Amino acid sequence: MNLYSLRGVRKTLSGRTVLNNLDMDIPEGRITSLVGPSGSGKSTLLRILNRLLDPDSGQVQYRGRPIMDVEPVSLRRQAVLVPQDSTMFPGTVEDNIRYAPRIHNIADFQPLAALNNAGLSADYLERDAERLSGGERKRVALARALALSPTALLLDEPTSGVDPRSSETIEKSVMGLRDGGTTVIWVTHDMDQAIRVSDFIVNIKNGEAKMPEDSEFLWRDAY
Amino acid sequence: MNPGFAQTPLEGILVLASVSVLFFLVVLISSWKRVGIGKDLTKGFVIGGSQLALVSIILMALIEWESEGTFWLPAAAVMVVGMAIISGLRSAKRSPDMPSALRITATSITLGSVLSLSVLLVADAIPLRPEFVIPLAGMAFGNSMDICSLTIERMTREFRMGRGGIETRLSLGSTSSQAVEEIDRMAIRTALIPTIDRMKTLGIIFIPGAMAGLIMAGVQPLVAAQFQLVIFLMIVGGGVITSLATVTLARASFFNERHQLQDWV
Repeated sequence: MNLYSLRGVRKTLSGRTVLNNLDMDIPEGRITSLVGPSGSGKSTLLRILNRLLDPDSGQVQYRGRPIMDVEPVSLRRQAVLVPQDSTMFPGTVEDNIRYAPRIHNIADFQPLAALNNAGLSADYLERDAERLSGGERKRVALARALALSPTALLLDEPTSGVDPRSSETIEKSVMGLRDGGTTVIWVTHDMDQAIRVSDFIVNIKNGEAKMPEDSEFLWRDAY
Repeated sequence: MNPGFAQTPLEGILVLASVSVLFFLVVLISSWKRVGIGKDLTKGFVIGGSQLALVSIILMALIEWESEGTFWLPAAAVMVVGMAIISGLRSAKRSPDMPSALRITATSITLGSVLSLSVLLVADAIPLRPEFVIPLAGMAFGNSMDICSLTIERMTREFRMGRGGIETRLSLGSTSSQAVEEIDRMAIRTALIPTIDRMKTLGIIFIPGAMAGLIMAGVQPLVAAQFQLVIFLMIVGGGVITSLATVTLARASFFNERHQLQDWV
């Protein structure tokens, strides 16, 4: 079963064609990595899957329904995007993790589980979020998304600028979430990492989806 | 002629001419020191002076109509519409890329000014006479324009600098209004700081114009102070309404109905 199906998706930003006739399927409960050079359209694609952007043409289906028929706020609650810049909201780590449950009126939310799932200990709860290191911010951003227990996680370079140990923690955490049934779409420019963590790899080049030449992964099984 | 205080327009011109010596001295000094403001000062003085003269002539006509029993309100309404358009245009310049900026600024300024002025009239704090309504409308529109400009400028800056934070909130399922509630609060607070500071320093650092004018016209200082407070309440009330209306109306320019940021931001 596919969580997302894309057919002939095109997107132009500031006069540049970012996605060009893109076809792709994203299976449920698996990790699909999107690899490709900078500017190839990976982040734009994630934003389309989260409806921060809409495609100019083509079809995107979410759980078999046209994505344009899915209410954006409801979709974003289910398929949470963790942007690359990991902006922290003012306040403590706990304030950040409680943000989404607060706006969605989730009663009796316990932040510790989300924190642990992102590879952070309880000591972090009271820390000033804006004073954390890059690696710690990435993990808090992940925990903040996990607070919603999402169906899908859309991760934009979740380990870029992160030390190898933190990177390994994030990889393990995300693979654990996949094992628990969460669909993960992982944008990375690091092919080694993609091979390490992914069930499927899609190479995006010039806005089109390609199967990596040197990959033995079951990309075609997604169709 | 009373010493130092003109009673007629002719006397006023004579007083103005003698005081203008100071102005020309300042222009000369700025040219000599190459400060580069002489031209702007002169231009500002001529434009400002002409505008004041024009509004005084209109006000004189309205007062005369009112004393003759002629219905002066339509003419005053035209003046208010003019104030709304001009103040709206000026505020809209603070965010030149924003679509429908003039509609947002003119509506917000008018809403704040007209509502606060109406409270004064309904509460019988001022009589419905042109010599009260027009100057107070000018004060209300002028202050609301400043507050609207500060609100819209701050909002635009915060949206552009904080785009990452806004999109992070949206990507967690916030509605557009939830995603910018902190920006809204900050813009309103920032816009109202000068007005609140002015209120806190009333009478200590400066005696405001209306109170000073009333005292000079022979009104008892305590009564003048009371009237000044009424004016300040109108200014603060109108300012808060203007600022709230600005953030509410502007939100529709920053986002579309799908809770996505617009391209121009």
